[in-house]
Amino acid sequence: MKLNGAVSVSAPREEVWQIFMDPAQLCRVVPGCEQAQRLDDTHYEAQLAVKIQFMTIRARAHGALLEAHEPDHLVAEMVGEPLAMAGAFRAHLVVDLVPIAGGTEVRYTIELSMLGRLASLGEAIIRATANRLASQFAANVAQLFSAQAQEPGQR
Amino acid sequence: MRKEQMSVHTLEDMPLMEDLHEGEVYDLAIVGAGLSALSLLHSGAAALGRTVVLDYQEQVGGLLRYLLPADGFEAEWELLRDFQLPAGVRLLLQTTAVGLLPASAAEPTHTLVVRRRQGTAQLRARQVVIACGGVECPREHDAIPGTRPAGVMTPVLALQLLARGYLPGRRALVYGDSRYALATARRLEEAGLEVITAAPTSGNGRSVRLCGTIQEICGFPRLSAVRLRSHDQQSVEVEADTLIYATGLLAGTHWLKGSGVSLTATGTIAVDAHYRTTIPGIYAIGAVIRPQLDHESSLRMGKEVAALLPGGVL
Amino acid sequence: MEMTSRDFDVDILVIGGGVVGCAILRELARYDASIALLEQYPDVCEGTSKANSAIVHTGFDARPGTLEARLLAEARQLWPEVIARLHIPYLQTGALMVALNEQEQATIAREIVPTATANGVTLQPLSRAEILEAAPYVNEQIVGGVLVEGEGVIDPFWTTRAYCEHALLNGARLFLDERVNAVEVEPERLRVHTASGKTFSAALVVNAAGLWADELARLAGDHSFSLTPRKGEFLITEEDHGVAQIILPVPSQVSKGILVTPIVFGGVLLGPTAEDVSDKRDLATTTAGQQRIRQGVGRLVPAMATASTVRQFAGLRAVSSTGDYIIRPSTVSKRLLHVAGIRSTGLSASPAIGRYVGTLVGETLGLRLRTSYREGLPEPLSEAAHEDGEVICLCRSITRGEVLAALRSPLPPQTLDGLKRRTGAMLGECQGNLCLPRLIELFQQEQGRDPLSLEKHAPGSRLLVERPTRLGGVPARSGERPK
Repeated sequence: MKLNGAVSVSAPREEVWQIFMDPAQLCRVVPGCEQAQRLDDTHYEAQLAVKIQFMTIRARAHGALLEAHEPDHLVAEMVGEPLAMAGAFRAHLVVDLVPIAGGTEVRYTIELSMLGRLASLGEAIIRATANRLASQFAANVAQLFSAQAQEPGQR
Repeated sequence: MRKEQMSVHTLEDMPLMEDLHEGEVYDLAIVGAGLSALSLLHSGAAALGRTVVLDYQEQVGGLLRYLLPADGFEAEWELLRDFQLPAGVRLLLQTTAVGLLPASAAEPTHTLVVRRRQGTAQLRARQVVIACGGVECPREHDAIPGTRPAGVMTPVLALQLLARGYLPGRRALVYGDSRYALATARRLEEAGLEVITAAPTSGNGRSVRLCGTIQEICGFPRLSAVRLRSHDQQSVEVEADTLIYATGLLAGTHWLKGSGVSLTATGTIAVDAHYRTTIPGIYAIGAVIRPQLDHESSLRMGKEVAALLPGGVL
Repeated sequence: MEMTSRDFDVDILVIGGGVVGCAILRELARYDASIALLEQYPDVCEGTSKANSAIVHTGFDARPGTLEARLLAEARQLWPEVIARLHIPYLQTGALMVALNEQEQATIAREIVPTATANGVTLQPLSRAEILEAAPYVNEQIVGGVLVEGEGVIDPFWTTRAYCEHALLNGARLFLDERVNAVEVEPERLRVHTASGKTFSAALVVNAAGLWADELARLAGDHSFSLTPRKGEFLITEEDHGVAQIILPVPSQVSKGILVTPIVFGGVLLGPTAEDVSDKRDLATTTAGQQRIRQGVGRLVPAMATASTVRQFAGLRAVSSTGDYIIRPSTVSKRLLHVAGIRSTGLSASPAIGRYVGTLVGETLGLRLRTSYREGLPEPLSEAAHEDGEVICLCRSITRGEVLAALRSPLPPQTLDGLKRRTGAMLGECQGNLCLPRLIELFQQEQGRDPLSLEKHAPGSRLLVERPTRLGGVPARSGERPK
């Protein structure tokens, strides 16, 4: 399953780039992220609580930064396992930061694979959830920067 | 009644989760501990490096272990009875592969997502042999018309119930003329059921009592009869409270969805003459590439792949 | 509950644990009253409610002015809250009604659109190109159609169970495996007798017995209506060929026709046929019926004509002699309230039927609302209710933990089919032939059930017969030897 999208933020891309390099900041914009830690320069681990339509799936996930061309292109991959189900998911993420008038456009492509029990929840539910998460992500990113614009100094 | 006890590998042998060493990389992971996997191990997998074998069931031997020993399965029984886990091979029972993530830029080894009592874990291996067999084709798969009563099952359920001390019914129609179906019929007879065998005319030389194809399943809430149509279009209603539907096996490939391992139109794993799947380092043998109730080629395939794997011995 | 007593006194008794009966029970649980529900099968959702298209329908095509049309319209307003509060799996897919020729196109303009408008549902006309763009899997021969945006799909078992669990949470009582065999009408009470020998005395009885509602009425001496069963066969395919919307044919005079419907948990449902039958227990699928489905869906989505099937089933819907819902007091007693003839729209209208009947009963008996009422259910599979465990159902990767959570739920399964519907176990390729012995063991462990008494679905559907004296087979466990 492939998801594409873009969100415009009113911040220079160097600033946006930093969000993607900082697990704590990233966690604030990834929907359902409860906690994230850096393991080393290119590895992360996170706890997620993803609300799918009728239940919340708690998962632990490991992420790896595969490519990082500061400040405009990154590729990352995350594999997560739900705690209460026999399955896993893999998200392959490609992000491009494109300068636009007054800020940056964040373009993303996510390729999502569902394994085991998650696959048997059905593609329609997963797709609906993924679409919702993507738009939440976009809203969170936009909000993070508009909040920063309004409250300089608070990060 | 039983001549010998088969070799037993059970839960007690299983290392705890902490012993899984999630970060560790195996040279070979074998998914499934049925006949083809045991044949592979028996043929010298120890030479293949650090090896792990995992299986959904509580013991090794695959689906056929519920039937063995049985006439016509002497070689299979011998392998199972005398099987010794080669030194250095780790056997994980009640451990189910629920997903496969082939090697990628992020992870140079193949990753199996496995589920065990203690939770979900990842096993990494340089090579994977998929030997997970299949499941028996149920009546629903062939869209047999009629009611949905209790008493309709495939052999593996009937045999498991017998093994646990239960009878699946009193009068069973066993539908299918594979060696496996007929051995199941004999086992049911020994257990005290009245058994009628039936199959479409197949000309394989094995004798069944009735020739005909299933037309309808009758009765509710428990099966009361099965309607067969003979080759001369005569309809026969066979009274039975149990139907053992033994028409075939379906390759167990649902867990490979999204893995990139190519499947054939019939759902089996596509392999070349050397049991290689479309992903380098991933092989497949046994019923998962050739689903048959009689597992006629499983032992041979295990043996052949043992020789073909890098580091394998002839 | 008085376990030793055979006599129960309640204020309100609901008969029938289908989606309608359970929706009513849920609404009645708002009142400060003692309420109970009787169901003849060992689980809820066993009759008409279990075998249908699983569509939450807007009612765009209902006959304007009927009670059915009115309640379907009200239900549209109620569903979002019901789905959110009870955590029910639902997908708003939208439905495309496609016309295969100009004549059908004209029927849409002449009949379908004005009816929908009268029902307060806006249909969006689409050109052939727009439909094929949105749903490229649809037959290229179509000439046009309309989109009904508000149509969606739901899990009917989950819905029925959630209604019931919510009612139980608020103090309702449930009696399964209780078939009513006599009703005594007295001036102040109704006395309902069951086949197991229990007697329920109630100030008001709601007859939500689905297909059997006319027979229940007759037990009370009321012959004012009759119901005939109409059989609908379905088949399920796991290949979806991209189907993401409900695809409807332009209806004929007799039937809404055979549809292509995405299933909320994946796969596609094809059907139903419509065949009037005489036997209210005739749930057999037929070769002819399955062929009719293939022909019907092939006109809408050609790939579905040959898609391989994983399951087939049939359901019976109640066709009433009046052509509309029958929601009114009995002719023999104001204390017996019929909720009958709900046809095929019971699932869709259920929140509004519940609300309507709840209000009616509350007013009739002069009931007060309860001071403490829990508005919703806890989220399923929350960690507290869950534990780890190995895979039990190999085909669907269902763990022991998921099975145990179902067996320990407020409305635990009593049958194997009940467990199947709650967990998804046994729904995969092997249909439970591999894992069923393990599930029997878990029933025994959690509920103390003697495996010999365990049934598949209906009373009498036992799986096992008495133990043999001699055993065959390999011992199931190490160390065990055949006796």
